[in-house]
Amino acid sequence: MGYRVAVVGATGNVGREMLNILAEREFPVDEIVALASRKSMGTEVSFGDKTLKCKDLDTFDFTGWDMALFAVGSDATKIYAPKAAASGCVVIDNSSLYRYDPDVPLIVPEVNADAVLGYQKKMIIANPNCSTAQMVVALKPLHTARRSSGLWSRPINPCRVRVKRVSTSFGTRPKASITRPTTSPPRNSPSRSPST
Amino acid sequence: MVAETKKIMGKDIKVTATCVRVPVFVGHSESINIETEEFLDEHEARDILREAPGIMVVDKREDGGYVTPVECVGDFATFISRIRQDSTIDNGLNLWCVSDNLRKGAALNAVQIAEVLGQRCLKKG
Repeated sequence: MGYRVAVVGATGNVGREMLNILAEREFPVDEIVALASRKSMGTEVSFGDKTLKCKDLDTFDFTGWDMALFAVGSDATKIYAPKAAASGCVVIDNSSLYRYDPDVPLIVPEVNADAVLGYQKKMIIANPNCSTAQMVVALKPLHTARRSSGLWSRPINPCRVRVKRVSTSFGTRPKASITRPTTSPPRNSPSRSPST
Repeated sequence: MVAETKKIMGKDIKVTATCVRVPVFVGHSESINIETEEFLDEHEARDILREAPGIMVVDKREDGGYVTPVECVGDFATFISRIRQDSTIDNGLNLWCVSDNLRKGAALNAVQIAEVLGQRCLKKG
């Protein structure tokens, strides 16, 4: 038995990627619906081998749906996320709208998966900014490291992290690159062998 | 980035960041300088990161021995390269961190949250 899942903003870069990843990771889905704005109604999007036709977010009834992955801007999220949550559908929101809300957990599963239990307050979970997500994945194992010799009895705790970041304009993946390159040199090299 | 990192990792962590957009199609790159309370050797840090979930260490001291954005496209992993001691402070480490911003930075993380939510809370799958 699986879940009834809605992807909101299914025609956008992130929404399409959500559908790809749900299919790739074989997320237990009983039923999936692609939602978008009215002007994208009927637009076809891929979900694994299947093709879904987008439905109108504005008139969609979230009752009976288990979770909705939101990949729309804060303005649309503000209208539709509370609507979905009030219908008992847990919202996983990619916008910045709820990230700092104390009643909404902000989660990177490798780092603070336990915080997921806090979803019940608002039936909403926030997804962090793209730069934060990858940084905390790198920091967490160093933060909680304990020296195996037992010399340290407490975590190493980075007390200060200075970050210089270079980013792309995110969300602007060109359509041509959706066909992903199958090779990438460093991954094919013996990357896990000891380095000097 | 500052507020989000504190919310996820705890308020004691201090973060400063400068973000710019550059002409790259896909991928975020971060040069991260870390100061820890106690000394952590770069070799030890490399070993810790190799074992950590979601991370792929690509760190060879040779031409191309590190990851650039073009190689992270379509990957789930957060790539870590250039793990080095920062000799200008007592307990300093530097590293280079690259990831596909549409995957770990957005869609993948959302799906991972859905997986955790399903396994721990909704328990239907």
